[in-house]
Amino acid sequence: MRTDTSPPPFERVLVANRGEIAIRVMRACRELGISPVAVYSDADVDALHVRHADVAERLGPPAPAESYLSIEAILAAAQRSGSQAIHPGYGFLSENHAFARAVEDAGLTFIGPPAATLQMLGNKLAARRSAEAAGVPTVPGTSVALGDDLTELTRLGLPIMLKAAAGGGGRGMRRVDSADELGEALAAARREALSAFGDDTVYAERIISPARHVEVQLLGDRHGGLAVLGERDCSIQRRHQKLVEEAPAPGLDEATRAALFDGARRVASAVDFHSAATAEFLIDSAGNHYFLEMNTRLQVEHGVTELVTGVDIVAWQIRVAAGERLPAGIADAPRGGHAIEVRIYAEDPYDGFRPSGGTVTAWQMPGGPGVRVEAGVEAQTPLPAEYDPLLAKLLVHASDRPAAIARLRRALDETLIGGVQTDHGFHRWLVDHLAFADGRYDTSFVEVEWGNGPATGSEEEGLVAFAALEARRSERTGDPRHVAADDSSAWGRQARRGALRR
Amino acid sequence: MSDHEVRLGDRHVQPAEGWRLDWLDRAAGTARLVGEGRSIPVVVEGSGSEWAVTLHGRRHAATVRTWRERLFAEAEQTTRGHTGELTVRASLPGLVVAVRVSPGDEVAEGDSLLTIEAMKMQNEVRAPRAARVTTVAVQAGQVVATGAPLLTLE
Amino acid sequence: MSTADKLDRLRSLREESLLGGGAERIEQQHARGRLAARERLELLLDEGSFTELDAFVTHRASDFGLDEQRFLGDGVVTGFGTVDGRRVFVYSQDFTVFGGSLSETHAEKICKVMDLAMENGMPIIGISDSGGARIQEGVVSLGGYADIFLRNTLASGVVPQISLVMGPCAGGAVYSPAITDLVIMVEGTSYMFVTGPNVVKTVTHEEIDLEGLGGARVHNEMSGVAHFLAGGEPQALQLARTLLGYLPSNNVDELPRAAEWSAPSLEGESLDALIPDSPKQSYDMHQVIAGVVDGESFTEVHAHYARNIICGFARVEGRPIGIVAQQPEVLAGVLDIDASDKAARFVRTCDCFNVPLVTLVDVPGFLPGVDQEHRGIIRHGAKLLYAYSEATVPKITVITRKAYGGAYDVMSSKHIRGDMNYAWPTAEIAVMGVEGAVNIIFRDRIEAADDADAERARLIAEYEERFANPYIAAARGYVDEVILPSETRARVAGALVLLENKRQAVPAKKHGNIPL
Repeated sequence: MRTDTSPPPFERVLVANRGEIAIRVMRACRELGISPVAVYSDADVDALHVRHADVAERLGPPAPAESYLSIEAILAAAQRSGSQAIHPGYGFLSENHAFARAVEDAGLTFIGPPAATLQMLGNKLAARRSAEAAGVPTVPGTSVALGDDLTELTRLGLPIMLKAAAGGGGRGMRRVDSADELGEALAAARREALSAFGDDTVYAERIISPARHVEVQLLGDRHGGLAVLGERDCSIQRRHQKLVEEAPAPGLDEATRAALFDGARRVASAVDFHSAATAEFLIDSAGNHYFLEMNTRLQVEHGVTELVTGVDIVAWQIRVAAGERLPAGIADAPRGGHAIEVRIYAEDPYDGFRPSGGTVTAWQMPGGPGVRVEAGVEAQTPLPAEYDPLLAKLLVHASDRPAAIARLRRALDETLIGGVQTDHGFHRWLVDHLAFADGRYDTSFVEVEWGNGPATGSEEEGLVAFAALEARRSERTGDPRHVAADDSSAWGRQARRGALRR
Repeated sequence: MSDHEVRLGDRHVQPAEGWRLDWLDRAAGTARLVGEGRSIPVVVEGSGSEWAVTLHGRRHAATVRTWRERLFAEAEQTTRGHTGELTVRASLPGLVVAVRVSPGDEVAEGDSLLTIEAMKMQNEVRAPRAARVTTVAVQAGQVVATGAPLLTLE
Repeated sequence: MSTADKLDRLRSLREESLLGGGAERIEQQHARGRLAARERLELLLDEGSFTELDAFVTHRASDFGLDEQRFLGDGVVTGFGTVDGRRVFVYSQDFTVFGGSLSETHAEKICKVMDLAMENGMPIIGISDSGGARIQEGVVSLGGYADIFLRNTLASGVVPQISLVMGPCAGGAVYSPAITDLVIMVEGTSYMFVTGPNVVKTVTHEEIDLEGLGGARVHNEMSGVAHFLAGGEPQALQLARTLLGYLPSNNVDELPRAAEWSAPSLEGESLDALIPDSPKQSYDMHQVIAGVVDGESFTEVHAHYARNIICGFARVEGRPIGIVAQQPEVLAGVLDIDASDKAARFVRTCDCFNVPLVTLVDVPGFLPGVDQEHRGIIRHGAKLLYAYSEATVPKITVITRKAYGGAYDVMSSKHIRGDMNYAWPTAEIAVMGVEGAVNIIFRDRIEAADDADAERARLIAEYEERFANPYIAAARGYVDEVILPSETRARVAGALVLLENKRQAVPAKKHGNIPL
């Protein structure tokens, strides 16, 4: 496709992010012959992602607002480093239309969808309306911004989910189970939305449960080209945040698949779209699908789609931003095999997935065929408390789903992480779980099947005890607390002198 | 008696037998448990009596202590002194100038309970241990003799 | 019998000796809240450092059917081990064998380790848990006790001796701990008395239980026989280890110096604000100690007895010191009979083992009163004066506030060979308090005045200004330096280094005649 003599899309790209995604983007830059620029806060001075770049620019103190969320600091860094484009990664400013606009205004290229599209689809309520207008089914809910009229809500049937229009990605949501809670919940949801997102607009959706969360990857260029790269199943979540993703979605019938692709295409076509985005859907137990929201950015789990399609989504984001056309056959590239990603966060799955904080000490990631590791940390890395504790993504690709699970099991068994509690134990349990093996799971899986994890088996406990015991036994003993009495004992000297006859 | 006892959390756990621990990198804590025809990677970190073992991705806190260490550790944790009622008495004759507590108050060790003026000095009567005041037998302005009960604690 | 059999025989004898009076009796001991004899040594000594001697000794008696019952070890476990790497000799009575009672051979075992300790200059730690003399052995048992007491006495001041009373210790047996340098008792499970409650009841008709007659609290708070009250056996044994850390192995060896130490737990600046403006207000002298010594290095001795004076060991820059200080919060810090006794013994303990003394003075005088006078405050106060005068260890004194009258002389003053004497600006060195002095000196003037009260007040203010300060003493060199409270630690640390090799003698004599 590319020849070595074609010039790189940009000379220098600033990656406005940190951790594993910054490294991912920088690798894509390198492969395209682009010089990558890293940015860092004071907490990330020695971070791994900084060392992958040609140039590193300091943003400010650790607090996100003063660093990775600071439009001013990032633009200044871009100017200083002579960057022509900025890739925002995911999270942080990736869906911030003011940022996208500021980048363009500064004469740089924003590697992502147009600012106006970010603005439009960033408001989840507006996105719903747009989808409905395009003929895509949405989750039953009120698509009109709520006043204090609660009758609309009660029509939906309980329980319902109140959502911040300016939220997204699982944030700004509040569940209401009974009618009496409604008034107060609404008021609270609006307060929280205002303080977290600056916009108190709240809408309501019926809660679809149990449900499967299936999303569709889109890629578009500036010339009207649009490709649907396939779907991913992301139902294994905790607190509405994804932990495991796979492609293709297990057990999805072709008709639904086609409908999802069609729906995604319609939503994207209804707006000015280029770069990468993902349309998220819920599928209820009856098999009905509903559009949830559109994420107008690169997703954490994009790699899963890359593995089954062979398409380098990040590279295409960059190329499309420079004006290249998507090749005609890109969406028809043969989809092969099955891919699964597990996210490894520094959190305690045995205690409500509470963030665990601390320092990563030992760090050994798996390798071998079909294993792809995207790590943001390395051995002996202290974890700053200010940021998302994603340590690494572990992806596997194999010829079919059972082989992928076996490969994932093998890879997890090769993985060693010390110093902090992580999701590793959860993932290791998951790959042995029958329902997962059968592909039968939905968004309630973690809560219902895992809870806070199984108690440690007695055989395992015995091994743990043995390991600790052995480690202690083979340790060198410590020194006595006091400096031992001087070897030249005064008593001894006196004894010898006193023994002499005079 | 010089054997080590291993506890996971609060529970005493018997270590597995017939296994071996082979270090890969002692400083990093990576090792392999070898036994029963298998080999399992493990991370073992810590020193002395506190350890963290990561097995199959799950990190466990373990304490490995000799009987001796355990007894000393337990001794350190038990509150010193007995519980039970204690009468605080005047150690000198004097005038009670201030009573700082009332029945039902919780006091910490060393908290000032009352002040007695004697020998032209203000003497603080302090709580000998953390306790709760049950009765107060004197009030400000009262003269007390040596040994007079001032208040009771429990 | 083959060689292998002979080796096995030894092994089985060793196992037998470890059981003492048998597993059942050990259970009973545990049920009483007490550890077994060897368990105590396991806790006391460094891991695996204990070597037992005389494990196979058995008694030689045959009267009263005793020849039918012989137990290996005969009720006491003796030997040596290390504490923080320093060698010590130990004995631990085994209540599971004949109730830990003392027989001829039991006493011989103890005497052996005491002899070894004295020859080799190592501390002796004794754990008492015994019903007393083995009555069946009669006077032989009493002889055994005396052998021990003699050695306690001969060893006194040669090697440190620490006693832990961890069970009954009655009758004659009590004199051994009483002679030793430091006595630790365990709350609720230890007792000491010369005559027990039963005999007391028949003779004096007083009814009292074991705890009330001679429990740990009684001896810590009332009699002063015990220096420490431990909440449990592990605490008591840990305490013995801690105490050894301040003392040398013998009266000639160097003091152990801590390899690391932390800064005082109270910041120097806080000391500057510690003394209240009003002379009537007291403060806690423990805070001054906390501002001078290494962080968490202070171990109070005799904490529950005569609380108007504080004695204890501590460290400054890792070097052990003995602290004697008034506690203004209790009895205004006066010296009375008990405080004089307590401090005098402590001073002499430190002097025996070359532990430098740091004295913090805030003493308004001796406690007046008929009771004190009739019970001999003169004699007892003289003890403390004698002890300080005789001590040749480095003596560093800091007067924080009052130092009145004879008590000024007694509390390690320059005149009785204090080496470095400091005073805080708040010090008042005088014959007596301002008011008393004015009333005496200016009695006529006050009586003659029109407004006696106003005149008295004016004279008090004047007198206070002129005399209630350290400068007159400083002018005469009775005080080497007037220092800011926050400077105290630095001065004390510097003085300790300076005086490390101090040489001072007492005229040759068999021994002095300290008033007792």
